[in-house]
Amino acid sequence: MTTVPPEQPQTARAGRGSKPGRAWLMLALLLGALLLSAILAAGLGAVHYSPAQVLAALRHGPPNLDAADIDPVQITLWSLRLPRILMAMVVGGSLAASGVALQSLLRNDLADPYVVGVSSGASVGAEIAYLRHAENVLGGAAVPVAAFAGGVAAMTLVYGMARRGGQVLVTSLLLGGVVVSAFLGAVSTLILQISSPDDAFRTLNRLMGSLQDSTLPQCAIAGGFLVFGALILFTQSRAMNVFALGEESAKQLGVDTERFKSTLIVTASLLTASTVAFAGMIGFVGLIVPHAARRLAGTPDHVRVLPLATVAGALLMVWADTLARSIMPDSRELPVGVITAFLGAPFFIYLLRRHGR
Amino acid sequence: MSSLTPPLTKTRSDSHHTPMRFRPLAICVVLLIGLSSTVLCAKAAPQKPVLTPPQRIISLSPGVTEMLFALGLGKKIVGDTVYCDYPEAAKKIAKIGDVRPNYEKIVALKPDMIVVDGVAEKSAAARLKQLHQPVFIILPSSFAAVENSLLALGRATGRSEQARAVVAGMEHKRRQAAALAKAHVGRRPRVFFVATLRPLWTAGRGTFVDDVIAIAGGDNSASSVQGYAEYSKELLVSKPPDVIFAGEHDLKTIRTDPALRQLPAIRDNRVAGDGGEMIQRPGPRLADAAVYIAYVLYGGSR
Repeated sequence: MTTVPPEQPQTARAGRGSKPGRAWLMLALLLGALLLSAILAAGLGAVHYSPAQVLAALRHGPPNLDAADIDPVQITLWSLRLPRILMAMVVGGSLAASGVALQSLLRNDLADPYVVGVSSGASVGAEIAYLRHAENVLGGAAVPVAAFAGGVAAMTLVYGMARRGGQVLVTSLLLGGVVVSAFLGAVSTLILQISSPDDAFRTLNRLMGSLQDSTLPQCAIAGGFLVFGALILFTQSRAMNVFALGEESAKQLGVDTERFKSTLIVTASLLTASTVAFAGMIGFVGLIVPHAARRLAGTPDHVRVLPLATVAGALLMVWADTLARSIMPDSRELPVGVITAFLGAPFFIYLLRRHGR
Repeated sequence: MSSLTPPLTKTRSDSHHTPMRFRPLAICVVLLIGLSSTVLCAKAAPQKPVLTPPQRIISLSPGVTEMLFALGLGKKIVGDTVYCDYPEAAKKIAKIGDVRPNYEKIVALKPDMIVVDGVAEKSAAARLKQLHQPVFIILPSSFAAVENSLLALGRATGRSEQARAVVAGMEHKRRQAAALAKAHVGRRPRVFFVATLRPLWTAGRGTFVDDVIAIAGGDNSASSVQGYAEYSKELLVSKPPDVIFAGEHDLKTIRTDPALRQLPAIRDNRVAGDGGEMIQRPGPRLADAAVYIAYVLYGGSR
């Protein structure tokens, strides 16, 4: 693993006068908010239930679906809302963590899985898996694996294009991301064109970004990806701090930068791919949450920002999905990506303007 | 989101904003699912016998809603889709979503029968079964299949008598349409049906639209394509139809389309509406659609 000289973290943490305990207090607060939100959100949707009803249904345990007369509250909470709330947490956490990794890797605050083409690659991979009807192959892991392959391939391509003589040019990287995303968009259209209308409709529906069809086994798989990915990123968080000083400095300070970079690429792609496979394309979360986390932590120290961003991402997604399933009339649903885009785009513009100064 | 911009996405996401645009979406889905329903037709296995007639029915598509109303079950429908606009009373029923049904809402309505046809997304039936909801599947992929679906629904709801009467009425209209066509001598007019205009989709072989055109004595000019499919404008121009049927909204656009307005059918004003989606709903009004098409083709009223 990466070795960091003992004196380094202090310099990199440079938390401009922040109290060291603040981030951990924030983390505890966010975790509390997440739990509370989950209970509140479980009561909101096409049909509303009070927190008391939610808690009663949870105490009751999962309903026996073969029983003659089950209370609809039980079915709704256990088979519909619980899976999607859990999935929202996992997806939000994964996107935010992968955003932190990519922003560190590219040393650019505007990087996120969408900008650098990982999501487009993952969506093409997932599409191919859907069209081969591979949803249940490998115990449900075939779609995320295909998405992962697509995501890593796209990311490697973009990163490779941006490298000139051992240096990664941010402009080339962003341009490369745009080009690769646009190209993969065409590939995606091609795949949909040559598939049967029925398959195309199902695939589009999935990729548009929805948590409606989440199931508990899927949550378990995606949750596994998140735990695995977040732990790996956490082991790299000190190296991320050092890397922020520049690739050359990081090398001199003993970071195995090649290994560090490939670890981040693979892990970020893995996290993004699992969200694309299970919830479709959900933009902006990976972009805005790391910024919010840095604000909350009061420091750019990745050791603290990473866990904070993961929990904040989960919190944001829980509410975005709650809005998606409750704001439309006639029991219709919005794709959750619409909500995150409406929240994220203004934030992105704000960031750009602030950077311009 | 740039990788998600094929034409279909546009239709779908646009449709969220204005009610006027819901139609193309609904049609699109009919199109998309049409293919699969023909395949599934063989699997129309006998449904579980229902002991007491259902009292709380949910319909997942406009055609089903029309069937239920025709069987006198309108008062027992507790939920239908946002597209269910016929008869008038269907609009007032609680809505359970669009092409993607809202499972929370469905479960909360405590239905004892959920009727699904090919229009609803196929995965919806699977998901509802997984939630142990009482799903009842019908596959009205042709004129005869619509009649059989009505009879099956009638048996399951204790309305067999009524179902037979509705089917008898449909048969009567069918003969009426066929008689009009028979009285005409000479080549059968070539008919083109516009399912959606942009992109141009039509109903080909194996669809109930194709079936109803044939019953009315028309020759579907898209019989070369299978199921609901995209149709090339070039093909349309090179093999011009005698009569064009399209949704009321699309009719206006067709007349201004630089290529399509040169078609003889448009120049001679041999175009007709789809009777408020009557032609493209697999329900009891399909018989009215047959009579309507026959009148347009042979009635001399145009």
